[in-house]
Amino acid sequence: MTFSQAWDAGFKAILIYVGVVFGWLIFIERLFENQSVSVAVMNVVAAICAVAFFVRRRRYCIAERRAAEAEVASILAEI
Amino acid sequence: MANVLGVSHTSDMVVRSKAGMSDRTFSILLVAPALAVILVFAILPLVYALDVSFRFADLTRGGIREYVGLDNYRRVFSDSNFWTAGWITLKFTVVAVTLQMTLGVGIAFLLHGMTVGKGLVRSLIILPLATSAAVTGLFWRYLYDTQFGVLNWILGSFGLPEPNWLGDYTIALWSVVIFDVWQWTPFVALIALAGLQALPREPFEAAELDGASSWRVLRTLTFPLLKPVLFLVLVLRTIDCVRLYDAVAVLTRGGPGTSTETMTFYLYRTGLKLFRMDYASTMAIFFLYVMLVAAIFALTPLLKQFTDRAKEA
Amino acid sequence: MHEKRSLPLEVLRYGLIVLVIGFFVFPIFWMVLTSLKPDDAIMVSPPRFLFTPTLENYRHAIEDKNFLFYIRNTLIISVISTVFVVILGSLAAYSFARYNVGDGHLLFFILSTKMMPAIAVILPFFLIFREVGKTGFGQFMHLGLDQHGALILSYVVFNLPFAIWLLVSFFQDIPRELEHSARLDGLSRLKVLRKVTLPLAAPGIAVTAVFTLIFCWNEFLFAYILTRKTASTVTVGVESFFTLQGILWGPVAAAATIAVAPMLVFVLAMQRYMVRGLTFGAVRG
Repeated sequence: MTFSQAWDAGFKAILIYVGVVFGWLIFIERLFENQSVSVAVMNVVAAICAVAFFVRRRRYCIAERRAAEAEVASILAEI
Repeated sequence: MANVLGVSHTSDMVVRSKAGMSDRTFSILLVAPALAVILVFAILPLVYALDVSFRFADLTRGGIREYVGLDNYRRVFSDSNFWTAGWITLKFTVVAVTLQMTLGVGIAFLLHGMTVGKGLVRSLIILPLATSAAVTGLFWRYLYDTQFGVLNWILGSFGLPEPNWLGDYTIALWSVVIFDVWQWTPFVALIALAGLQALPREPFEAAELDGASSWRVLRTLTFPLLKPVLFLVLVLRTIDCVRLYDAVAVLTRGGPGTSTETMTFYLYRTGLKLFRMDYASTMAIFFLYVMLVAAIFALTPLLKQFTDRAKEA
Repeated sequence: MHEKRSLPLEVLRYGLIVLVIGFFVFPIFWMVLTSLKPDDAIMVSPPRFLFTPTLENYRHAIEDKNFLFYIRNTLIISVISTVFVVILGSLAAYSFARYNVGDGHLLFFILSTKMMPAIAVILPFFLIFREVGKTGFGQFMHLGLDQHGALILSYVVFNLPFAIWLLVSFFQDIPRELEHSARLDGLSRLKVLRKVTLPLAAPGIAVTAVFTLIFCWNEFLFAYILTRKTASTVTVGVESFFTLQGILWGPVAAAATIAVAPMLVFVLAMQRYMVRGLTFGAVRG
């Protein structure tokens, strides 16, 4: 993963984290009795979402790179 | 593909000047002053606002105090005025932008076919843009006046109903919309016109030779070619309408009641009238978040255009 | 496009254009008209189109309210801000256009700052300038509250993103070959920029300068919050016509006309430059 792609994915991951926090505060928190528990669970869920997104992007970028390398290799092999 | 493999240079980057400074250093030096200014004055305030959003800050009770975690956010999210303001902003933006885009593009087409006097018309149309929203908006209060306003007099002469533009809470928002449409449709029209005039001739001449109807030409040729320009104007106008403040501040001040209280005005009222800087900062951060997310969707296609062109050797 | 022109359609076209022009020009026209009306011709119903014009409102604005002072402030602030924006913005935009600094991320960051509403950052700005104004450096650069420097700096910050946006597309429109051949001729990068690129980009820079100047001249919120007396601009000055008895429309119209006139004239003069190629590079002609 290039630095540029990592930065891009990281930035979006942070936005996803914050988005989950906001969404949680707006919709989910009222379902919890204990606020501290709610906050703890919220952080965990948000972290999972963010990390999952980042990992998925990374896999996608690596696969894309491998495909490009394979294409280059096959072109070279033809020469 | 080159980007995926991590190869990003143009042939420029390999050339080193006689002075020894690499292209990279040169490019960074060029950007540095502008970047420094923006960093200091855009980042610092936002970091500050972020910090305050986590604290208790009622300026009437001694200023900015201790941390309260997410409580401000909880309070703001459960504030119905906040969501109403958001809804009003949304209503305003959608209607205003749609009107501006359709009218603007329509006017552009109207002007495009002109043979004489185009420059004159352009000069006249551009006038609303050159005025200050706060100044002309103030005067529009007089135009909208129910007793002495010329607008209602004109309507009355045609036998049309004479609404209470700024006092009727059901239409006050649309009065503000009309003002914004008045001021910014020329912007859309002029850019769309520039776009129309910059279109290449060959496709159109070919289509004419093929005998395609004008409607068909419009649909399959003109609009697809204009799409980038129109998208750009759409983004610009949407950003500006969401941020609208001046017009509301001078025309209605959020009233009557809170029927024209857009998010920016609610922010203003909370922060500078009620002095709850904590809630105001919280709203500002939330606003920033929504704008960032929107920016990703809106700017990515535009940026791709930029970087693609920049990478051409 | 060589269409066959039918006369009724053309009549319709020009008729519509007249309507359009009327719609956009009328409020301004009415404002100027009102500024020339004596008091008894303003708050009347039905509105009067014929009256004996008077310059009383202007006299009131200029002498009683010292309106020309506001014009002077606005002029200083707007022009200096525009100069800085154009210089800083051009350098940065050139760098983005030719060298793609930061691979799009930097540009994204800068452009996204445009999306912040002024109202959201106004308090931090207020506090920053209040503190800076107390330091020696701040005093020297006139950066304190109610001083021109504070407003200039604010305007530069707020106009740079859009200016860079405009300028990047203008720079990209200039063919690279010209710069390449100049470099091959041995010119340094700065010289190339100065002698080759900038002259070609002049129309684009002019457009940017026009938009920036207009924005600075017409800005309200920052001027209102960051100034009190010494550095107030015309937009703030017009607001001062709010009195407790209500709004005096005659003087307001006069003040508004004075505030708006310079920009109107400016725009009329620069109209040609404002539209040429203002497609942000989105349409490649």
